[in-house]
Amino acid sequence: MSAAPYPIKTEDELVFSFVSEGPRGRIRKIVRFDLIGPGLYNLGFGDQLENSLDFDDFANTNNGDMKKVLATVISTIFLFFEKYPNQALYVEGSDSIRTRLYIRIANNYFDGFKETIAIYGGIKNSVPEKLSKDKNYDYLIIKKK
Amino acid sequence: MQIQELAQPTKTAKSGSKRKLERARKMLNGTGVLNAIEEGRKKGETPAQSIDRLVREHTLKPKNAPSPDPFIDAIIDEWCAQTETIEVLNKKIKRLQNKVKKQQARIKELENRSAPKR
Repeated sequence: MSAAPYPIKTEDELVFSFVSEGPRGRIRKIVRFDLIGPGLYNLGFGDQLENSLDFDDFANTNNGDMKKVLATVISTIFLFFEKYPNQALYVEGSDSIRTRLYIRIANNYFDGFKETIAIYGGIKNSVPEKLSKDKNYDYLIIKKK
Repeated sequence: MQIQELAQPTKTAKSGSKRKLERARKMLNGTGVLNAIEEGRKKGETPAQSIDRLVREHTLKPKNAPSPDPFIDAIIDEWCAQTETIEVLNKKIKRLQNKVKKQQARIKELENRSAPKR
């Protein structure tokens, strides 16, 4: 991810926020890590819902800064692993197109972090496997090596 | 420079975090991930170690993997291209705005210079 991330504000240990800036204005984004089950957290992000630390993950902001937004979300993954190095992250897009986009990013961007980050891909109701570039997945699991 | 107000946050959308958790649990049902973490905990493994073990012990059968979807790939390509175009145009607009500012400053300077001195 070549774009520089936005400055990140820590709302609490597992919630971060930042402001996307572009032609559509300044839009506050929320990144959250929610516990799915012991040791496994869901990574979710989207436009902030009014007066809350929750988000709308279906919002299509079109603020012309997708790379910068995704670079910021990736930065929060590293912040998460700084605090929870033994936990794992579950990543799934709110729709199949977003999931495909995240898989593409995982394949391209995290290639440079092979030594520190492991990514697994899984399809619904099946055991995950090591991420392979020529396969599609329904979700990703990211963990620190 | 004037500080722009933040755009109004979405009011009506359903909680994304709640929905995502529901989806994640459904998706993981039957994958063995949560069970592996639970079992691993009893053995003193970290969740990350349990997932490694699970992946090592099982290999995904290729027939289960969905085939690549060229339609969705095309949409993503277009989406990325559009975003890049917007980014390029924004940079161009900024460059031109700076150029205009410089020209305006230059015009002002020339006007001041040529104005009759009293």
